[in-house]
Amino acid sequence: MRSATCLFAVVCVCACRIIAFPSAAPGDDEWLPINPADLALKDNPASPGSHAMILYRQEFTDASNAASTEYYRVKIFTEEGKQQGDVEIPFVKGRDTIEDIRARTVRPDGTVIPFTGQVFEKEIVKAGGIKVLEKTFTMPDVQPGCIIEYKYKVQRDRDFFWNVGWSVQQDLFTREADFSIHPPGGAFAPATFAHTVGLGQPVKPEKQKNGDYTLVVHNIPGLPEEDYMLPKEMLRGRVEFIFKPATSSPQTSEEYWKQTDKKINDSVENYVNRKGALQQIVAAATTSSDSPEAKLRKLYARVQTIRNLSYEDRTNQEWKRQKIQENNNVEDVLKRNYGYTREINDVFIGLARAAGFEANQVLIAPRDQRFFFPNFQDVSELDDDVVLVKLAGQNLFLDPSAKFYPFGILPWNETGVTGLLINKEGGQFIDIPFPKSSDAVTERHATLQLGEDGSLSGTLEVHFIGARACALRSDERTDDEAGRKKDIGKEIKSWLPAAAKFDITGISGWDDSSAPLVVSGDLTISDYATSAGNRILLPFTPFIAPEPRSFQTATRVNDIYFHFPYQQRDDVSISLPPNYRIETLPQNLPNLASGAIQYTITPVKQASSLEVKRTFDVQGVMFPASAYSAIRQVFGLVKTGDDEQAVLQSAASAHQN
Amino acid sequence: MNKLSCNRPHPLIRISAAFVFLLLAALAVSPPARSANAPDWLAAAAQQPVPTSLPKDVVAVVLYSEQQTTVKANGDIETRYRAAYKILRPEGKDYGTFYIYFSKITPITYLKAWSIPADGKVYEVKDHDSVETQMAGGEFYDDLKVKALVIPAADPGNVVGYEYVQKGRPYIFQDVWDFQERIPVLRALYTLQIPDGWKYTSHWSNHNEIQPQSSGSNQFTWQVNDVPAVTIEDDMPPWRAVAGRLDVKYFSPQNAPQVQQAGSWRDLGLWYSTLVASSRDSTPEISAEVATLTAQAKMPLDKIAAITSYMQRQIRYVAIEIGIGGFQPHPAADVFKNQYGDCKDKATLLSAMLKAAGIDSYYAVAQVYRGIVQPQFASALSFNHMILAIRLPAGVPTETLYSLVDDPKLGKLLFFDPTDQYTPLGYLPAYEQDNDVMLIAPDGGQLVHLPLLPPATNRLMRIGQFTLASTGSLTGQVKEVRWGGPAVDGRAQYLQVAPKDREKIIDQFLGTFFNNFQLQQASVLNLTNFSENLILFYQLAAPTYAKQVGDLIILRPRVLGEKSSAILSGSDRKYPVEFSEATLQTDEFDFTLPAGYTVDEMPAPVKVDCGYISYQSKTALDGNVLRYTRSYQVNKVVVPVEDLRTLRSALGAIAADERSSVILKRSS
Repeated sequence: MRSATCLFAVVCVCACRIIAFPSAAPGDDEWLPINPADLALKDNPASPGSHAMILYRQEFTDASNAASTEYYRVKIFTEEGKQQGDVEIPFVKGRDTIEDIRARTVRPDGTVIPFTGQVFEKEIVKAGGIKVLEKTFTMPDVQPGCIIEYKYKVQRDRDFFWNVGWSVQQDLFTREADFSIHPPGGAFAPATFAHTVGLGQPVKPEKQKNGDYTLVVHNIPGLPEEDYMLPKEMLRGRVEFIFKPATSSPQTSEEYWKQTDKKINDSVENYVNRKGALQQIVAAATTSSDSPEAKLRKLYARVQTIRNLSYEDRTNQEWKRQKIQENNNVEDVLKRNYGYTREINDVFIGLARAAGFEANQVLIAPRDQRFFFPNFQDVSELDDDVVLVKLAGQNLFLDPSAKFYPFGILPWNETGVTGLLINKEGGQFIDIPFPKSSDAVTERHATLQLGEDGSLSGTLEVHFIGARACALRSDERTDDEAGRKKDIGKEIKSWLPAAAKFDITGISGWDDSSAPLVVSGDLTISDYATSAGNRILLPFTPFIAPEPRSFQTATRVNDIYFHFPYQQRDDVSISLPPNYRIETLPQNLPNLASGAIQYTITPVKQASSLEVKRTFDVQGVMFPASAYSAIRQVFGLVKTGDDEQAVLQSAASAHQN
Repeated sequence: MNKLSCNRPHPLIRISAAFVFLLLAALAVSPPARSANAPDWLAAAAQQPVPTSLPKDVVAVVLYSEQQTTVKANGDIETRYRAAYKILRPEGKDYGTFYIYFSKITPITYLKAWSIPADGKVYEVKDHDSVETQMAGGEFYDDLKVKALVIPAADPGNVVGYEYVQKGRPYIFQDVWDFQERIPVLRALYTLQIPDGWKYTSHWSNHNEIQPQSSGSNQFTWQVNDVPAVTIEDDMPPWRAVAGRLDVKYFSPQNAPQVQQAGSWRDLGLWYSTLVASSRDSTPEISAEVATLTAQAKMPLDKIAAITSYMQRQIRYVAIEIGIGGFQPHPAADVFKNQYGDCKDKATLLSAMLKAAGIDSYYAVAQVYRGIVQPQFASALSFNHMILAIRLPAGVPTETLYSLVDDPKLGKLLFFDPTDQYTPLGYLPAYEQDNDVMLIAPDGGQLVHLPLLPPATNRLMRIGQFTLASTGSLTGQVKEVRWGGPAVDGRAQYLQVAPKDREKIIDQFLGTFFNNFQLQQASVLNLTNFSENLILFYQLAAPTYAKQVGDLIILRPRVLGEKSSAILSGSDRKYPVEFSEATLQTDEFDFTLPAGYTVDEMPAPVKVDCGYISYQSKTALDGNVLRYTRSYQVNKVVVPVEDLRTLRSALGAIAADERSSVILKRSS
């Protein structure tokens, strides 16, 4: 297998050990007995059609000695599965050692070929005193039908060995995996908590009389890569253990978060509490006649003028040259007019409070990086934040540190998540809602002229509205005009036929984050319409929706995940060649006016032009894999509608008819 | 030669995610600010004005680059590299990070880099600020590493530069000066210092020859000015085939291996023969395996087929290259025992096994990209791959063997690539066709040009029978027959995914042409029987394929497959277009039309031939069956710039035909 440390989802969980495998790991030169039926196996009966499968895997961790042993038994079914014979075991030099590597190949007839080759040490990366290496070796005589086995011991530095976990799901199907952990002793209390992610159903490691935790799982599918899925590492099935210092009293999750919240709140209050300075800013930025919302907007705008250092990729040398100092409170931030993301949001909290609003920090885990599980009791996962402000009794979530995001719009990765509300009561979680599809809109206005030769030319104006514009401004923030034109031109070209030419003539709205970003340009598509004798077939729209390409296969494993809801609104006006008129338009066009994904396409026949209005509205973010067939059909209809054509007829031909 | 380990063409660098992460992290952990002065050469370069005539989209420019190679009497070398870049636009910031390849035998002994901000003090970074990773360009283990150094303040208007010294104890006594880049180069220098009494030969690629300035102490300096940028274009020839470069072979007339390397192809082959002299020795185990494999083989060609098939499929590709291991194969006995090896290992074992079967064969050192080998300059660095030339015994029938070369001395040589898992005996992978190899013959090396296989040997044939309903629904089945290149591509595609996912490949393919279709049945025949045609059957239903528009039905008869290409739709090109192989592809689609409809409009036949590609299509009605036939043929694989206009015109005609429709009209 390419990597022995990949993680893995459970179909069937069995809490009791099976007799065939002893609970202790086999010794250095001992191997578990192989069932002859496994040697004869031609395919995976539980999931036919695989290159290879893990027949058995064992991971025993002795946390008290900071050591673990790993054992893999892999069955090869095809020629392509032979690459599983290349094994890579990553480790951090100076912190971990990989010891006692043993491996062997067992041919289908039972002949054993021990691994006697060289184990290489490959440098993955070396920087700043850290060296990540890989032990690599390749198994001999790997052929379809054979079984490869390898095992090794990982010895870690005790100082680094605090939290451990089981990577239950691997890229290959796992028939059986056997895990156990002996909790650390000494300074650490026994394992207090096992947390499972992505395992399909609750999995609870079983606590044994000696304090060990064990788990046996069966038939864990691999994790396939598909378009529009959650990041693979967020989906992988795993079990995590938390060990607490023995000196700390056992806590429930509720207790942990309450206590943590209070500590953070104290720190925030200390940072924010500079009333005098804050009130001066409020007085300068707002007027007494401002409505509460207007006040908040003005304060938001004021805070967005602070330089956000988190947006700048600079080396320490450059920071030092710039004499960037550490900010100890919001007054420092305001005085120096720079700060990091959380510092800037804290300024906003202070200003909002100074203006009479109830405002609090909400710590979140951005959903482009991880899911947050409160039970995991790890506050370091909440490394992003937004501000909750009460406005007319309503919760308003804002992130003024997000430089290109105007009042009311959050970056998508901060929406649809649960955050920890920081206040003196402590321990309260709050849901930040998903945005509406109308918060991220792309409008495309095309005014085009069809030539008799089938060519299309004219102008295209694209309005990126709301979060769509914000994301573009953020992505392009370090680029110059030429770079922006290149990147945005490339994106727009990706919506058009390969032969299309789009030359940007202007971009406006870069500097006003509350306004749409408008891109104008000249569009030409040679051979757009096709002639059919005396007729011309004119496609309704030059735009090609990218989504349907990702939903062409009949089956799917993973849930469907869009980053955020969004809308497209198109109006396309195509003037006809002088001697042509629309003979007929298709009937019964797709019309999905309800549901989580909506689509309409409406052609209107004019005397000398075709006017087409198209709307596409993805209102949901997550759709279960069980709904895939319906989703696929929807996108099929979108493509069908987009492919529709008007039939044009020449005047001469119409006269003959 | 470059290391001989290529499986297939692949990107040169695979940098791990961890490497990228730590490289970025290095931005934040770089050491305290150091006050420094830029070296004189960099300060001088920074003063050089950037020509105003440069295009506005140029992101950076090389103000100055220099490579000084000093060869010592024992053959060791030391090379000093210097470069100064002016960053012109934000995208040019990438030039503030540079990469150096090194290994145990080519260590970096000095490394510094600087940034000269337009208005400020100079920044300096050193070797210990760099990030390292091991190369993984397809090899399982390679001792080559890459070091990356991030230079601070690589911002528009600033000048960044670096200098490093690398030592080496080369196996190949040849130096390379790659002076052209993706950005303009204002001035570049190359200096070669060789010991007294040594000589050199040189060769310029993609640039006019320039004579060196000699200092009289066996030191030679070449200089180029105002070298334009290489622009990257789709389907262009490989970098080395277009970028300016100087190759220099140096040697001591008293050193036989060096003289051989610096000599002709024959000499170079003799040198390589020495390096691989004992690799192909057989063992009793190898002989026994050959006996088993060929037990049922009656004719020599059957024996060859049995052994080559074994080598292709049984011996796994694993490249382990340390030091000379990039050039020298492992002994055949080791490869056989382990059942794995890289290209040269596979060629070695194959040669040993053929020998055990009484068949001679010769190494053929190859290059997986066209246009790199320069026939007039014998160079070991021209190659990166190894295949085998099998000497056919007299009387072997050759009708189905297309990778044949008639050698005046050795007779019929059948070239075979044991590393390519899917190309059967008698064929060559596309990238080896119309390309040069160095044959290591008994009396030395010789350059052999491998043939471009004729179009008919690389065949894709689709035959479809469809029924069109008055609703526009299309149902039917397609039979796809592939051999040659298309079969290799198909097998690679289907075999590399798990068997349970193979139907998805057909889904994805059909999804390009149909909306809301159902794949009702699919089967693939001869997937692992490489000597037979690869055959695919699929049956489908596409309820909304044809468009109903009033009393008309619009039917696109080119149901499947796309031969057109948008490669020439952009601005004018600087470089030729390169197709992968010559091929002949045909479609024959029959449509049974719905009752009550007649054909109202039919596309005109198309016939285009620009010499490089030819295409014809025809739609005809026979009773209630509409038949669409077309053929597409690539005749030559490289289209020079001066002929791109005719190619563009031909591709346009193909694209128009692919979009054309038949219009049916309700008659009752």
